[in-house]
Amino acid sequence: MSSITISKSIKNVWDGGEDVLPMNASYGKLMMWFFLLSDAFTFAGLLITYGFFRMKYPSFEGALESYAFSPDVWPLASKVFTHFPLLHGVEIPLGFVALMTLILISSSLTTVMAVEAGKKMNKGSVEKWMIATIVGGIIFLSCMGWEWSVFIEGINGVKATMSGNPYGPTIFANLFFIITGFHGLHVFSGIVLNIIVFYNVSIGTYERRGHYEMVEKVGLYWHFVDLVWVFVLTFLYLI
Amino acid sequence: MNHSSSEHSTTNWNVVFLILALIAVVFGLALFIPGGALKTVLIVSVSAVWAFFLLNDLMHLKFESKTLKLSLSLPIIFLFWLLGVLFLSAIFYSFH
Repeated sequence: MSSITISKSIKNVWDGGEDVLPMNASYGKLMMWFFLLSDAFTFAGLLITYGFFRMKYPSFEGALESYAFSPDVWPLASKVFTHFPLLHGVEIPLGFVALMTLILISSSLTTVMAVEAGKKMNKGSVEKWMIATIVGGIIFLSCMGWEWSVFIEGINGVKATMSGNPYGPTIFANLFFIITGFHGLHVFSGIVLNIIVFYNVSIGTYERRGHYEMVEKVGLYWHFVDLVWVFVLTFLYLI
Repeated sequence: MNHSSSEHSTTNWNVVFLILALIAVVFGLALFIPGGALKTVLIVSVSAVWAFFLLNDLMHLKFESKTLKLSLSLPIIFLFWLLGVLFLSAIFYSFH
């Protein structure tokens, strides 16, 4: 009799029933956390590769006034990313990327508000904050598109492509496209997921289910996109 | 369903302002500190603190169980170790 009880309890644990919560988290939330961990490994692979090449090439040394782009020296981000929309001829080093960072951080905060509203079962408020998050994501992605177009335009008619660029070593532009592109893909899929969850919120799916945990899960993904941006920003633009 | 974190749902605005301050600090370091190993270490360190608050407070990891925290943080610590090793390797095998 006792052996039956033991095997039943083991079955319950590994089947993941309604009453069993490994690590005290629901199945979906736990899987989201581990998916994000695996995604962190993918991004780390890309960023560590970037860091490797960044350190392998010499950095510019000397007065900033004498700075000139060279294929043998890793370019200074503060000299590459100086453009700002509607301000032609005005150089604002890293100004636009700072604005992009604030937009993404703001959309992370609206996600926090949506999750909180969900915990209070306030459907209208969840909808409002999710729309704000989606709009923030779309603005960020549009900014990235603008930045790519300026980056590709290059300097003095020399365009930046995967086979060469006017800023520095070829691998610099290659890694810029791959890393920011992969991050942009995450932002895009985050927007799509947010739209799907927003639709479900609107038709009352989670209201009927009795909880808004799905908003929390998609929120985790959105915060992760923001988290990755911290490191993309650090490696590609700041060091 | 687990709603263990529902009782901790109030946004900690101090953390939000701290994150904004950290963003200002990293941009300040990037623009006004001359290049070098110290600048790199400082910027990566401040960014790591920024990421910690994002993960701990905005993603509510601090309300999760200790086992889950360890399951996520130990592999991340390994990543930072790998980052350090490859940075040093890159300097050692430099082209120039």
